[in-house]
Amino acid sequence: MNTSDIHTLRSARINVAFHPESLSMFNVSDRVARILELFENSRDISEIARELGIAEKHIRGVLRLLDNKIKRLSPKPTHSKPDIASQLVLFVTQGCNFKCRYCCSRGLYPKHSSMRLETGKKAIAAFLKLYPNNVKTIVFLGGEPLLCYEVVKHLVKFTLRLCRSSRVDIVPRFGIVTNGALLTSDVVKFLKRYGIMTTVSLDGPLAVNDFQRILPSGEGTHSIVMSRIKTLTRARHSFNIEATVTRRTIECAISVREILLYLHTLGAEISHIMPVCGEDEETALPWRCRQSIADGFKDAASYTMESLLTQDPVWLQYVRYILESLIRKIPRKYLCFAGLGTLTVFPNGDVYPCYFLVHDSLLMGNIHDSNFPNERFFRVRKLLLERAKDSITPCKACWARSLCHSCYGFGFSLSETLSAPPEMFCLIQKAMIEAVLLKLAEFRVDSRLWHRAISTLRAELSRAA
Amino acid sequence: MGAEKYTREDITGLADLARSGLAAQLDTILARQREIVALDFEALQKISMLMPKAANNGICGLGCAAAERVAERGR
Repeated sequence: MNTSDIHTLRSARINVAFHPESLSMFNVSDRVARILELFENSRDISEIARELGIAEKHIRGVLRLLDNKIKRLSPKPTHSKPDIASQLVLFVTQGCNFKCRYCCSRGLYPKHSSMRLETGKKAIAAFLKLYPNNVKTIVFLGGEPLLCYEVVKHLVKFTLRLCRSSRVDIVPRFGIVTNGALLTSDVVKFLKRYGIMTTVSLDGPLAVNDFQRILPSGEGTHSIVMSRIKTLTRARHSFNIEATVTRRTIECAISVREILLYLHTLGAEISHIMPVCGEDEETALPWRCRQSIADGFKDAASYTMESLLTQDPVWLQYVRYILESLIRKIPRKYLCFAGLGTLTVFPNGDVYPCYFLVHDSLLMGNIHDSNFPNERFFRVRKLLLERAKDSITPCKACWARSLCHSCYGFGFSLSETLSAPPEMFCLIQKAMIEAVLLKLAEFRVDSRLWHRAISTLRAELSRAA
Repeated sequence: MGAEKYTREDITGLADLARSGLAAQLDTILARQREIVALDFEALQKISMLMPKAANNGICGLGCAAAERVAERGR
């Protein structure tokens, strides 16, 4: 057994040994937990024996026993294999009616342009023809995608017509990520009618949101978005909210749990709360506060888990990702599925793995190319397939490698390499994973809690399916 | 309760030990076994059939905002 093969977690109620490769957990005694903690910290057997006053042979016996129990577990889980184009992202416009302080549309792309209907149709038709039944989701993204509402509307109808008239058995679902300002009742009616999964961006309470999510005039956007959320609620169209945690959130002394509850109160089905890491002084979370920030995310993840014991779960998206891997028992082999499952088509038809991975070396071709997808497409895909976590130095020895869900965006935008994300991002991920694992183990050893949690999860998943 | 079940091999091994009069060893082994108990999450895996086949709704691990500022600086 190697030191990275096991991770020990403790709470007031339970000690857990987690085995990342099999995604298994063991309930261990205090003595064993202590031995494993020291072992995980690369202390050698004689040192552990001295420190704990236990004979070396007993320590070896404990490690051997755990090793045997791991070997005896059900077959090793298989890694996830992303299907090409399981998620097609149509970046329909680079234009936006907001001018948020941190937005990529302000600097990442050379000029604003919008997707012509023909380009969108060509992209959808090409992927549905090339990989029928692979395309599970088509997402409209921007800029602000509702600035191109007519195009979006036509593309949804076009896709459904195409699926009806061709050999596609799995009809893709649609999603849209919007700032919410253009969610009129007509638009909401359309989204509801076609079951379009809707995510609205709102950075929590007014004090934070209006500092960073602003109109070109500099005015805050909170009240606009709130009134549009009411339109969604009135129409009973379910929606998610995406929020960021920035330096401003810390300055306003608002915790991640408070944001989560705030968004839940507004009616968000799932809240996706993201830390802004990096070096930017205006928005990025300060490195010196890393531990309290990670603790804040851990607290929010614990809260989501505890809410599984109620009839009204308060979902943090990250917790869903972690649970998804545990439920399916499929370790996450890749930091993200950019270029593997997810493909992004830009207004001019260029195909990139993701809207952050925009670089000549990662251009996968253009949808208008007569020979699309050509050698370039498969070369980039191969490059990304080779960037599994076990090829990334800090990831391959990390205990959280089987469950973390991350992004190449940070590293790539700084160094144009597909490297691991900043350390703070990893700290936050690990904190949330620990919270989920500990809570699951605590529930498991109490049959009353376990049955309640499983019953809520079952109900939630049935609803989502 | 989520406790693992002993295999036939375990039981035979323990019975052999007991027969050979190695009661102390038996106690040690049983005590150690109780110190490491695999948690059974079968019920969790059973509900995997309910998981939606579709990918998520476009929200990735980082989302738009988190890397944007960095992206802007990087260009």
